[in-house]
Amino acid sequence: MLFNSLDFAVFFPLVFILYWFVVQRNLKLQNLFVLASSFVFYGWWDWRFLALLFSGCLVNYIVGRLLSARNDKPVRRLLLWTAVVYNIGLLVVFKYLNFFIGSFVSAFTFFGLNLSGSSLNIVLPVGISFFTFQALGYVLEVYRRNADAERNFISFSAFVSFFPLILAGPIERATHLLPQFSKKRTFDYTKATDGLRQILWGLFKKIVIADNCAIFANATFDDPSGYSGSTLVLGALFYTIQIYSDFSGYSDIAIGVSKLMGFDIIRNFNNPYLSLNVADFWRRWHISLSSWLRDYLFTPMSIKLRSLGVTGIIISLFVTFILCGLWHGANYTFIVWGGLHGLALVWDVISTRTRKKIRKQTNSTLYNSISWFFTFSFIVFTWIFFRAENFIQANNFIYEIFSGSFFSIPYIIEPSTGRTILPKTIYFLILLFLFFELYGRNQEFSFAQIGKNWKRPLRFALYYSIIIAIYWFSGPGQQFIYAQF
Amino acid sequence: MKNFLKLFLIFSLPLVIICTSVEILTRRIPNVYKCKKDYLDKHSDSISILFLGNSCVLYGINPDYVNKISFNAANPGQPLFYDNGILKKYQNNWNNLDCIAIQVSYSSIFCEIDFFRKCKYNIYFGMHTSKKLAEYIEVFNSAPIVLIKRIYYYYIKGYSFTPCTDLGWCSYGDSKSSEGLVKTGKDIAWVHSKSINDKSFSENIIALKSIFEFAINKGVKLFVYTPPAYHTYNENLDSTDVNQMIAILKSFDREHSNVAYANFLYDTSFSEADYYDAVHLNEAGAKKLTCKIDSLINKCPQNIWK
Repeated sequence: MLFNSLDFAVFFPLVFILYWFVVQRNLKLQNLFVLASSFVFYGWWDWRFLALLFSGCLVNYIVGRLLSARNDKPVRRLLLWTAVVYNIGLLVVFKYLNFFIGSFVSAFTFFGLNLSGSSLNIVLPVGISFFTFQALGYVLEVYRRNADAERNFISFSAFVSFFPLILAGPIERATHLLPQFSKKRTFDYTKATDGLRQILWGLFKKIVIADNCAIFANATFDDPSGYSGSTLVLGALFYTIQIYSDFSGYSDIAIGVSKLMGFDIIRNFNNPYLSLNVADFWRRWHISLSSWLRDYLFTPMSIKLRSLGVTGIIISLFVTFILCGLWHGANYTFIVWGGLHGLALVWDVISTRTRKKIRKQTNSTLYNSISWFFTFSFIVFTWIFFRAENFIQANNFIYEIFSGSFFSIPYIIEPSTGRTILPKTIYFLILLFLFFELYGRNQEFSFAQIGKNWKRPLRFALYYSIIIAIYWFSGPGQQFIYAQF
Repeated sequence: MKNFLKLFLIFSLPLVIICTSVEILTRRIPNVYKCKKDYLDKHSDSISILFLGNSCVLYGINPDYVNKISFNAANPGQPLFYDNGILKKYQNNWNNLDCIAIQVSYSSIFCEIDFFRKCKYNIYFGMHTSKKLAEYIEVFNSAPIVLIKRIYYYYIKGYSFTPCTDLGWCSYGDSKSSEGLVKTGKDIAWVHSKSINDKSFSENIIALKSIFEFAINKGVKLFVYTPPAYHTYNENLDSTDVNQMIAILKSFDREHSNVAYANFLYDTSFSEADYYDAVHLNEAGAKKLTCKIDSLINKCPQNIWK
């Protein structure tokens, strides 16, 4: 079930009413209801994978309980590795097995050895990368004794499978979300209306902005040779807007739904495209994943390699970002994307002193503007690899950008049919969206304060306008990009 | 909490009322799907030749020129999957069915159905082919401007919408598309090439096999044909795909005794004057194609039915 579906529009009000009117008096019952709703939500896609979700809850719960009961280091380490192998094993089997088989076969073929590797017909369970990381994060926190093991299996399972987050995050921390399942949740009017506004804004971002930007981006990525270099740059820019509005739109809806149920969820985006360097970008983009990788992968690894000094940090950074790329999908394009970000961060590390010197000698506005421009250009460039279906498509796209028509005026007309790729109104809406994002950049979400203090009729008129825009200008329904990871 | 719910209901009520009214009003307006469903509900047991396919058949086959009792059950953009659906929906009613004339074209075998057409089969034919709730509601499947225009012209302007003749044929008259055969050929081929989809192809092949099995079990003849199209359309299609389609259909023809296949795709007897646009025939073209198919089915059975 997707947030932008009518099924969810029916499902959620029912859950909401039962949650606050029927089961609200008993916390255990309320948690059980959250769990049941989450299983219905997940099973709506494919009920057969509920067993996988349940087993994930059970294994991590047992490991957590055993970890809290044992004090001997070897046993605790063994338990930790059991959870790591189980969770990463799930990802390997369901997400990467075919990729690894294919890569091995290609590698052997390259060296003249013919191997026949048959790929397996494995369906990728939606949200597997998110709920396994959430569960693994819990085990790691219990192992580090930063969190107590959850005693109640229902609460723990509700935490792992919490339906607003299960498909595409944010990847919540056991130290933040799990305790909320143990406390009585009371209805908060302000929080609920705030949640509704965040849902509305998230839907607008996804349905109007992301789905329409996808039309332009898809047209250019599907046929790079059919467009001028400058149009391809525009296509990459449209994808840049698409992926942001798609994923941050999803996060807004997830956080808004959670608010309506009385939960606080961590922020996942903080104006990433205003970053002044790549490290800054990763503090603002998909915050829940980047902080997860920082805490559970980069930091432990760099501590292990501290004897190597800066080299240790560089190795840790690079490995973390290669794995970050691979986390997104079993494709070389994601590895290249992660690798490029890794390289940019390595550059950040080794050029820190030089940049500080330049910064001191330059006008700060000029310095920041140039930094922003280079960072943003780099991010747009790397999205090409992220979007491309394979390495060849990415290469063709980049080759065509620099094919000689780079400085021409981009055209917004389909060359084969002469039709405009997007209606003019959509360009206007995209500009309006960018303005709102910039205007509300200091808020939790950019629409948080807009019209909040207006009189009710005016406020309602604003909401109606957004709903009408969502209905009127909806793009062709696309899957949420990150729900495919 | 109560205040929140009260305000939420006050806010939502106008939206719910508007959406429900538009949905009800839209469903009451006559449309092709509804007309065909109504006809089949009443007369499916008397039909002798059933024509299935997409808009090429909808505009290209006029049952008035067929000697036996026949009906054109084609709908715009209807792939084989839904041809099979219609056939199966009335499977217990085809008491007099002698022949199924099914069109298999590039778009009906390779392409995905347009998202806004899926709901028509769920709503009007009651097929329940979708899991998504939105695909059972007109309001979520048509452009708002289209819905508003339809409601305005039908209820306010009082236009009578006659989507097709009693026997299911739609007519362009003897007119020609203002855009011309060259432009429409290129445009339509581009649109069709863009909507190719492996999943749809395998779904349609399964549906075609199912139609073959149904015809064998029922002892009904199956006439499969590829409709004529202007050369500007054919030239802009991927020839490998077109050849693959023809090879599949020929192999079905060879393997099944009750099956005959005719390919009109490159039929030069259809001239410029027979086309409305590069893939749709006008009234004269429809007459020509219908008579050709009728004579192939009825007049020389020994040549085509092995």
